[in-house]
Amino acid sequence: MRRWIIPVAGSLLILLLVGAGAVAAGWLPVGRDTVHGSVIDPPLPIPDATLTGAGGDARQLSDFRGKVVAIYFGYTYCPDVCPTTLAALARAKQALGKRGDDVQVVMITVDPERDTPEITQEYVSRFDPTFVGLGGDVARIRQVATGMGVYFEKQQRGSAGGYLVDHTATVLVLDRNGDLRLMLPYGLTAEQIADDLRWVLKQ
Amino acid sequence: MTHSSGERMRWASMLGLVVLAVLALGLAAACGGRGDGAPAGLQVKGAWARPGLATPGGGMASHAATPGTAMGGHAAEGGTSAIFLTISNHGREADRLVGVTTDLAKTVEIHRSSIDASGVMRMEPIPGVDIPAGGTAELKPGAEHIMLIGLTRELKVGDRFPATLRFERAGEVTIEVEVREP
Repeated sequence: MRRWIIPVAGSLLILLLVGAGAVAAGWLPVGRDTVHGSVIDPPLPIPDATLTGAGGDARQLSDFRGKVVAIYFGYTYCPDVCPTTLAALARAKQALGKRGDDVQVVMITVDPERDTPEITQEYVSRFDPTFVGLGGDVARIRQVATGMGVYFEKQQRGSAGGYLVDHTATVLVLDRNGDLRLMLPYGLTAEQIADDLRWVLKQ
Repeated sequence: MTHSSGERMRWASMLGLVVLAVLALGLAAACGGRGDGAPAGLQVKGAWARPGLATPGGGMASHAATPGTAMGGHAAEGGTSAIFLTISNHGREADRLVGVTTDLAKTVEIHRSSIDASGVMRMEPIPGVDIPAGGTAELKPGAEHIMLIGLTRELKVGDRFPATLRFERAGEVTIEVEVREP
């Protein structure tokens, strides 16, 4: 009878099993790219805003158009969540190699009373010399934050260091057109952030 | 049969001696176990701190130039850092970390960071960290940590410094903290 049926079916079965194993092991991506953050679809245009860079020069968010921009709202007094996130962003950018040149990380301070634009810039430079730190008037910063759904609020909780600032710890990723494309929750690894930035770079 | 009964006595007394010796050794070991810098069965592992500068953000920027600081009065002069570590309690009674001191910072507080469902990070001072009997307390990024406020000198990767942890039951335990990137 049809002797070829058994070897062919057997080979197909083996291929299927190997394929399933590879997918399970993460060697073969399913659905092309894995995105770890939340995709904003369609990309959301955000209002442009003028902030202050080190040296007092006015910086517009639109200045960074053409690059993928990862924006983090944080403050230099924060010893825990902010440095964790900035260190992960720095490692993610390194992992992208040459393509990392098209990614701009920007930290906007949520504590302009203590963080001058200079202090903010020096703080982010410690993680990566290409990072940009922005500050300015608190009303301006609040306007930019609210435009991106970011919350921040000063809190008096009896710390000897003075007040603390509650703030959204999510990283907002703008695509090359300056539209909000992706939100990265706190706690992603550098590798996961690199995957997501790669995805936005391809859009 | 007198001979054999005398022999039995000798064996019995020797056995008694051996039992006593073993007991004594065991007791010595149990007492000695307390003396290795971990009183009352507490074990502190993997203590590390983030690098930090002696002024926030940089070193060159003049802090006095920030109006908010002058008004706040008690705002941190000097940068911040945080110590993370794991405390295991091998004892039978719960203990509590209630304070930390180190020469490296003007103020040391125990803080907790948490992220709520909407992604907002909040940080607050807490009075202490409980270490349940037979349990472990992990002070880690995004959770409880020991906050160093007003660093008296720069903390560079590779530096080591001592810190003294104060426990409700175990008293003071001095540990060595390594400065490194997470």
